[in-house]
Amino acid sequence: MDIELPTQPIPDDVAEACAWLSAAERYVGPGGRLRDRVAAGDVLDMLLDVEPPYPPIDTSRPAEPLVDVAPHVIGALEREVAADRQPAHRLRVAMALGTLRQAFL
Amino acid sequence: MTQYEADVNRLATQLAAMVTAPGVAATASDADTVNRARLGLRQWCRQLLNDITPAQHTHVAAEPRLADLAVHPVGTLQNLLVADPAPLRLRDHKDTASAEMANRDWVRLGHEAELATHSWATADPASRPKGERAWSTVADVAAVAETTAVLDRQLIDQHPGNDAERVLRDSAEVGVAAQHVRRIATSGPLPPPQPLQSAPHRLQPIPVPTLQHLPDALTNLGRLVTTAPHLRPRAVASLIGTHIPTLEMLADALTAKPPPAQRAGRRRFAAALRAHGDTLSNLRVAARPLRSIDMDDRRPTVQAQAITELMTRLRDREPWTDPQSQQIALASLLPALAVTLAFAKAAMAGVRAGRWFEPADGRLLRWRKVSHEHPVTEAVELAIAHARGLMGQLPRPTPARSPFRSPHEVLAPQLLYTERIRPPDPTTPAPAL
Repeated sequence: MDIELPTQPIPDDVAEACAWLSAAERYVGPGGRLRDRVAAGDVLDMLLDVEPPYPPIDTSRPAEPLVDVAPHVIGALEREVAADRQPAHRLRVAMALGTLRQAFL
Repeated sequence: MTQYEADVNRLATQLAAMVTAPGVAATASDADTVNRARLGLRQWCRQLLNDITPAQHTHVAAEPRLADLAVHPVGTLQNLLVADPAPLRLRDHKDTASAEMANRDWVRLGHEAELATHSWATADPASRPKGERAWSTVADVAAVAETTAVLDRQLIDQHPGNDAERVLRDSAEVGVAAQHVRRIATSGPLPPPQPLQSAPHRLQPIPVPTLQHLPDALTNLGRLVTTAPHLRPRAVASLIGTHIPTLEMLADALTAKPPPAQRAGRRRFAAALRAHGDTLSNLRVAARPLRSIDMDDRRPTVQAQAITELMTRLRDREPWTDPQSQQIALASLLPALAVTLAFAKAAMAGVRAGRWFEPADGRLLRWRKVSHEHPVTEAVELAIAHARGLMGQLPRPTPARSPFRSPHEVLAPQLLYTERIRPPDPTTPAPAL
C-alpha cells in the first residue's frame, strides 16, 4: 500500500549540490578516501535536514571523488547562501558549506 | 558491575552484620520496622526464585510442605516462600541505646531488601540467569532465606510471646528447606552469573569524558541502537556517519605503536577496519533515499554525539601510543564492530515492520514500503558479513570478575552456625550440638 508524504520543493542550487555530493558519497575508486565519503554524507545530511523533506535527490550522476566535485558543490552552495531565502535556510546551507570546507583543512 | 550486584551485596553484608551480632539485632523494639524488613527479605527471595524457576512450584502440592523437599527441593522452598512471614510481636522494651541501634539496623536491612528487589525487577528479564548459571542465584536466595530464619530464631528467643510458636514453625521450615537447597546448589560449580542489564526502556546514554570510557560507551551505543523502538533511515544514516570516524581512529590506533611481532597483523586488520567503514558508508548511501513517518528514538544519537565529542577532542593529541591507550583501542574493537550489527538490526527491523518507505516509481509524493529487494537489504547483509568476519579474528574477551561477593559467599554456613560446626582438629572438643 502506498502512502503520501508531504514534501517541499528543493531549491535548484541545493539540488545541484546534493547531486554532486551524492556522486562523491558513492565514490570508492582510486584516490577515494573514506573520510571524503563521510564528509560528503555529513554535508548531505545537513542540507536534507528539513521538514517537510525534499523529494528524493538526483543520484544518477556518476561517482566522482569529493576533491573533484567540491568546486561545483561550493559554487552552488555559495549561490544559495547569497540568494534571497529564509535566514534559517541560509544558515543551514552556510553550515553545510563550512563543514565541506573543513573536510579539506 | 551493575546496580543489582551492588545492591544485593549491600543486603548480604547487612544481613551478615546482623546475624553475627544476635545480641544487638534481637533487641529491636520497633515491631513495624522489624516486620517490614522480614517482609522485604521474603519478597526478594520469592521474586528471584519465581523469576528464575517459573515452572517449579506447579509440581509441588501446597501441603504437606517439607515432605516434598527430597523430590522437589527448589519447588518446596518456592512454595514455602509464597506466604508472607507471620508478623512478630515484640516485647515492650524501653527505648535503650541498643534497641535504637537495632532498630536502625532493621530499617537499613529493609531498605536494602527493597532496593535489591527493585533493581532486580527493573532489570531486563532477558539478562536474568538461565540454565546452569541460575544455580548461583538459587544459592543466593537459599542463603538469604536461611539467614532470615536464623534471625527470626534470634528474635523469638529474645521476644517469646503468644504467636512465637507459629512464627517459629514457618520460619524453621523455610530455614530447613533453604539449607537443603543451598547444599544442592553449591554441590556443583557455580559460574558467576552474567551481570544484569537494564531494561531497554531504562537504558540511557552515558557520558564519555575520557578515553577509558570509550569501550563502555560503544557497548552502550550498540545496545541503544539494538533496543531502540524505532529509528528512521535518516537517523541510521546519520549514526553511521558518526561511527565511521571512530572506526578510522581505531584503525589509526592499531598501527600507531604496535609491538614488532604484531606489526603486520595489525596493519592488515587496520586496513580491513577501514574497508569496513566503506561497507558502512554503502549502507548509508542505500538508506539515504528512504523515509519513515514514525518517531525516532533520540538516545542513540545522543550517545553517538558524546563519543564523537571525545574523538574530536582527541584527534590532534595522538593519545594512542602509550600502552594504556593501546589497550583501550584493542578493547574497543569488538564493541565498535558490534555497533555495525546493531545498525543492521535497526535497518532490518524498519524494513520488516514496513515502517521504512521508498519512493514509488515515477509518482511524486507517493511512497511504498521498502521491498526486500531494495539495495538497503543487500548493504545490510554485506555489513553484517564483514563485521562478523572481523569480529571472528579478535580474541574473545574474558568476562570481568565482579568486585562483589555473592550472598551465598558472604552468608557462608560457618558464619551462621559458628557453634555447630565440628572443628577440623579431632582433638579439640566439639561444641555441644
